[in-house]
Amino acid sequence: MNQELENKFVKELKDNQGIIHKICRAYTKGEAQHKDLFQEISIQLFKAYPKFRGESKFSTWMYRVAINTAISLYRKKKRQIKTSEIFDNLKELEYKGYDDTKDKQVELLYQAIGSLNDIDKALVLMYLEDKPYTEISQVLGISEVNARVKMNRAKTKLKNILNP
Amino acid sequence: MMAADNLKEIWKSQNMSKIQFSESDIYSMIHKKSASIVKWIFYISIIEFVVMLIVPVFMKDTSSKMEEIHMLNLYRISNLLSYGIAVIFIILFYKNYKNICVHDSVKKLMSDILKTRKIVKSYVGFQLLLGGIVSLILILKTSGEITQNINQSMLWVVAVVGVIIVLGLMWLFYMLIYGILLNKLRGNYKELVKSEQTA
Repeated sequence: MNQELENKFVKELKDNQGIIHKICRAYTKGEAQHKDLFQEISIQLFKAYPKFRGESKFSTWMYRVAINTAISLYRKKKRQIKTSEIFDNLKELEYKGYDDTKDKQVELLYQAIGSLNDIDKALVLMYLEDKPYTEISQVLGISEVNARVKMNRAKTKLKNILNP
Repeated sequence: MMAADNLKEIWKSQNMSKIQFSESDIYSMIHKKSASIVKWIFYISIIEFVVMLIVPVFMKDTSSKMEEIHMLNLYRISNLLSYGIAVIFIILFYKNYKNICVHDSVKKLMSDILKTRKIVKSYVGFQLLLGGIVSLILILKTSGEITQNINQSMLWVVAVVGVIIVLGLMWLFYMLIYGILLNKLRGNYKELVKSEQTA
């Protein structure tokens, strides 16, 4: 890849890194894994960048590669968050009556997403990002109808975790 | 209790990630080596191809033994077959490996990775089977001449069991390596395929 293209890629990635951080946070546990996944996603994006034709927005294309890397390519030392840990945190939240509930709620939401399986995680992330069903079905490679069915199930699972 | 109806609201309210990377961080990151599953599969597959191709080199005395028991032609044919099939599998493997594309859909990507893996698995299976058959013939012919007192059917049983045990152990070892590497991927793929069938 020539230097000019590389510079362009790095700038675009830096400007759009927020979305990758969200994916990393949902699919990993702890800062080390987060950084590790971010690096793997960056490498995969960089390798695929010359083939990026600009038919979609850079962020859309990046999202697809990032989800693919998180689900199919990345290997981590697994430590599943137990649902009981989330319950404990929920109780703690009620007990302490946090004022800064916003950050805590975001953290709990990530923990709940973290306890879903990899496919459900992708579905929920795309739902929260307001992605249209056409895009969700394309990213996962399933029909739109099926994406809706799976999405409803994933949302129910998530709500059950958050409101036991 | 957390209200589940306003999840999008909570999601959108989140601050920027505490971890942020500068352009220089990203520059150094993208020049590091990938540790992806595909990369691992590629390396392990290459090792498998190489191992299967060089094993006959360490069995130099096999051809003379085969000549002694008048099986040289069978041995040569099996070797030719083995190398010929290896070439076909290597071409197939490389074509499939090159087809793996990180911006395909999740399902297609997983299917391509698993297909690539399957090609190498079939290749190793084929080589093990061929090796097993040739070893079996060799054991039977040579042992038969040395130990004339042993019952012929007993010899068959011992030889077959021996070959099965060796192949079984290799298979277990193999499953262990790929079990660790591909279990998650296989599980996720099944999840997508299953949902497609039930929808």
